[in-house]
Amino acid sequence: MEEVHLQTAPADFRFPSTNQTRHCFTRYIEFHRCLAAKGEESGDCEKFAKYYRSLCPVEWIEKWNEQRENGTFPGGLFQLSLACAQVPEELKQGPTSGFMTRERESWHRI
Amino acid sequence: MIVLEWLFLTIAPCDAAEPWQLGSQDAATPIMQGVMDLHHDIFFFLILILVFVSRILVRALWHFHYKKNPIPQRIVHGTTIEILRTIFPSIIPMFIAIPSFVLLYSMDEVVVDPAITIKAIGHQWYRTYEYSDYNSSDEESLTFDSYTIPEDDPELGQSRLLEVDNRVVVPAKTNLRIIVTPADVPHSWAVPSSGVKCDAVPGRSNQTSISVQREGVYYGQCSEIRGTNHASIVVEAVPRKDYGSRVSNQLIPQTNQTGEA
Ligand SMILES: [Cu+2]
Repeated sequence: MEEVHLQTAPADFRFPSTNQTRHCFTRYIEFHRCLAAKGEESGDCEKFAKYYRSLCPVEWIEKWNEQRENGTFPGGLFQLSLACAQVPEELKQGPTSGFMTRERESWHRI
Repeated sequence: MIVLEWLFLTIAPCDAAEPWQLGSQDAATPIMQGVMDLHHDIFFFLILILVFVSRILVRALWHFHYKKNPIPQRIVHGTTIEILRTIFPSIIPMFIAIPSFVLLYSMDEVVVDPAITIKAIGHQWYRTYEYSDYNSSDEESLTFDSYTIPEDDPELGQSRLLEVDNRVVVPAKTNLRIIVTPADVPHSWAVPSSGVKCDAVPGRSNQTSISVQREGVYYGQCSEIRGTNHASIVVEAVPRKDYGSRVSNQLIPQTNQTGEA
């Protein structure tokens, strides 16, 4: 059996604390925003999917998938699809950028 | 029998609590080593203070006994002693606080990117572990349940109420991210030799980073016992080169069993 290559979601400086709830949620939203902006064909979004699958409990992902199908998902997924083209660069500005503020507001609705 | 011998002679189950144990279990991570060092550092000051205070107390009782000293002293001031007994007690907490905070923040800090993420999910009646780094869809996932072996059922050599049916297999000398969360009520995830005790709070996922430095089997217990049969936590650290085969050969069949049942 060959040695498996070990790789997982990297440590994210936006979420330096023990509480990683929003790390998982943010990665989930990033994936779906990326899909909305780039479409499923471009393979760019897969890495976000890998990240959120590593970080989120399966139960949460199932719940959010269900909520998205019913249109009751609390995070903003599509409003900012224009900004999505530059997701990684945008997010490098950290939690102060407008991108994250919008998301923080929606977080309260959970 | 050969299997038993192989299990218990090559991997000695010594990283578990033993009867009448006073000290910590052997450290398996740098954090636990730091915890033990801090404990010893603090004990230095503790014993220093204990000896000094006892000496003053005994001397006072001895010299100022009413039979020896029928007329009480009238001294109410002593500038030198007052300065000394103010300065020293305020310096000692600093010697304790500085290493303590250094350790506290080093526990919190994730300096290097972890190599694998394991989700430890507490339930009232069992624990679930998810290895999802290689999932290619939301439906598929490498998940297994871990039950405490009941009190009347352990095999020869197994630790009573510590052993589980499915252990958490991790690679040794690798940075691990453990995501701790419960599915129902608050729980926790604690392994003494790893220096980890992480609360599991419903609706929140907590992260703790460990890097197990030696191969072995590490026993821990939930610190929020809400339910039954879910307390035991057993981490088995295997050499990194064996990790892939352990996970793909052992965990995947188990996943299928529990998944379909
Ligand atoms: Cu518990």
